[in-house]
Amino acid sequence: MQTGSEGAANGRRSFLGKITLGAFAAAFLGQGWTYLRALVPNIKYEPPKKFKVGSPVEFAEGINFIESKGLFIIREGSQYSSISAKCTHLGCTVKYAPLQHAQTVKVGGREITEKYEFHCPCHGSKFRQNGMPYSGPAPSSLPWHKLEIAPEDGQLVVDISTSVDSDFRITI
Amino acid sequence: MKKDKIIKTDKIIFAVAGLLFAAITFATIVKDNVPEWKYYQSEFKYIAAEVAAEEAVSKIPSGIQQIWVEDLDRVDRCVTCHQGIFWPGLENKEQPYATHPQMSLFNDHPPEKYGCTICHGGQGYAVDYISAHGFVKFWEEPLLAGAVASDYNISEKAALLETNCNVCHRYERETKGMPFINHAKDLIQEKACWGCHVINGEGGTIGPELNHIGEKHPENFDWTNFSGFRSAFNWHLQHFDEPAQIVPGTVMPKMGLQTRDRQALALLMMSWKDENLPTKYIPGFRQKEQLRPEESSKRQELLAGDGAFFIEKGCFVCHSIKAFGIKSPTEKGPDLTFALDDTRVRFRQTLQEFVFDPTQSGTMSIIFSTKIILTDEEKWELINILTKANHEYKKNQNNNQ
Repeated sequence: MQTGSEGAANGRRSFLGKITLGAFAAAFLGQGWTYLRALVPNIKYEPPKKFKVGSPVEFAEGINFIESKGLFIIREGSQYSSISAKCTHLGCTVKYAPLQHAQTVKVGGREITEKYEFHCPCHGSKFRQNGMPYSGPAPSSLPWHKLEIAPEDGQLVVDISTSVDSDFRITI
Repeated sequence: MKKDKIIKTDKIIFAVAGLLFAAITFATIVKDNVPEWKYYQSEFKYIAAEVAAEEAVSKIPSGIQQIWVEDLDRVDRCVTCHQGIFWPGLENKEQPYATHPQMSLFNDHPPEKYGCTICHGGQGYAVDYISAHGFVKFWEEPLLAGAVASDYNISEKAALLETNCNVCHRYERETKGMPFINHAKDLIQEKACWGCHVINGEGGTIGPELNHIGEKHPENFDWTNFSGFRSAFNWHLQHFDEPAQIVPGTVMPKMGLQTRDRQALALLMMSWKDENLPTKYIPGFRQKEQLRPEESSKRQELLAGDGAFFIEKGCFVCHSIKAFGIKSPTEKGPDLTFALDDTRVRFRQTLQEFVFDPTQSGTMSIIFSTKIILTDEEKWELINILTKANHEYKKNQNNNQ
C-alpha cells in the first residue's frame, strides 16, 4: 500500500530525476557542440581569398594578366570576368594564347566560339577559352572566380574561394 | 530512514550540478557567439547606410576580417571592428567606425603591404577592445594613441606614432609628417651625439652604441637612482635631463634640453629597434658593392674635380676625356677633350651652338632629349668645362713639346 506522502515523494523523485537527466543531456550535447565547433577555425593565418585588384576602368579591353595573384581579368565592354592562370596539373602559370581565327568548338556538349585559349608552358596542357582542358595532363578546368565590387571604393574584388560558372559576368 | 535522506540530498545535489553544468555550457556557447566585434559590425551597417547605397551596405563583409602581410609576418584583424577605415565620408564618426584620418598615407603605404600594427602598435591577432589595443600583460607594443601619450605627458597626440614611422624611416634625415622625430634628428646633429655613440652603424665608441637601443627592455635599465614610473621612455627622459644623476660617474654631459627636446629624443631612442624588415621597407637603406681599394680610389679620383661632371651625367660611358684622365669603357664617341674643335669640323657649329641645338648629330640629339637631359645652367657648365679642358690640354701639349 502506498500512502499519500510516499506517492508525492515518488513523484518528486521522478521529477528530480528527469531534470537531472535533462540537464546533463543538454550539457553534454552543448559541450560536444563546443568541441566540434573548436575544430573549425574562425579565421586562418593565410593570404586573403578575397582581394581588390584595382578600379574597373583601369583594365584594358580583353585579357589582363595579374601576375601577383596568378589570374586573368577579362573585360568585354562593361562586363568583367576572372579566370585562374594556375594550371590544374602542377600549378604553372598558363599563357594567354590568342587564336589567329576565331573557331567554334564543341565543349561538353555545347558549342562555343573561341578567340583565344590558355596554354601551359610546363607540360603542354591546353585549355579552351572557357577553361576546359582538351590536351595534355591537366585533369580539370581552370576555375573561374567570383567578382564583386568593393562597397567602399568601387574597386573590383576577386573572390578566389568561390568558383563560378564560366558564364559568370559582372556588369559595371 | 537515515539512508533514504542521504540519497535524497545526493539527488538534489546531483540535479543542481547538472543544471549548473548546463547553464555554464549554455553561457559558453552564447559568449562565443556574441563577441564584441559582432556588435560593432552590426552598428557599422547603420552608419555606412548614411553615406552609401543600400546595395553597397548589403555587401559589407561580416565575420572576422584581417589584413595579412607576408613580408612583415603580421596579420592585423583591426579591420574586423574598424570597418570604416577605407570609407570616405565617415571622417567625423566615432571610433571604431571612422574613416582613416590620413587616407593619403595609403598611397605610399598600401594597407595590404603594411597592415595596421606596424605603424599604430597594438596586438593584430586580437579581436576584443582591450587585447587588440595591446593594453594587456606581456604585449609590449600598445596602441600608440592618445591614452599612452597622455600617460607620458606628450601634448601632441600623434607624436608617439612617429616612433613607429621611424622604425622604417630611421636612415632618412628628414621625413614629411614626422615633426617630433625630425626635431630629434636635428638635435642629434646639433649636439653631435655621434661623437660618442654609434648611431645607425656609425659613430664614436666613448658611449654605448645606440643602433638598437629601442629594443632594450625596462628590466635591463639601471633604476637605482631613478624615481617615478619605470618605463624605458621615462628613463630616457630623466637621463637626458640629468645624465649624471641617473648614471653616476657617466661622462655624458648635460645638454640643457627642454621638455619637448627630451621627449623627442626619447621617442627617437624608442624607435631604434631591431625590427626584422625587408630592405625594401627601409627608405634610404642602400646596399653598397664592395670595391677593391684601387678601384675605390680610382672612383674617388674620377668623382673629384672637373671630370666629375662627365661621370655623374654618364657621358663617360661613350666618351673618353683625356684631359681629365677619363677612359670610356666603350669609346663609342669621340674624345670630348677635342669637342671644341670637333663640333666646328663635323657640324659646322660652335660648341655652344651644338650643345643647345644638337640636331646635326642624330645620336646626340636623342641622348640630349631623352637620356641626359641638361638644364641651361648645366649646358653652360658643360661648355665652360670643355673649353677649359681643351685649352689646358693644348697648353700642356705645347709645353711638353
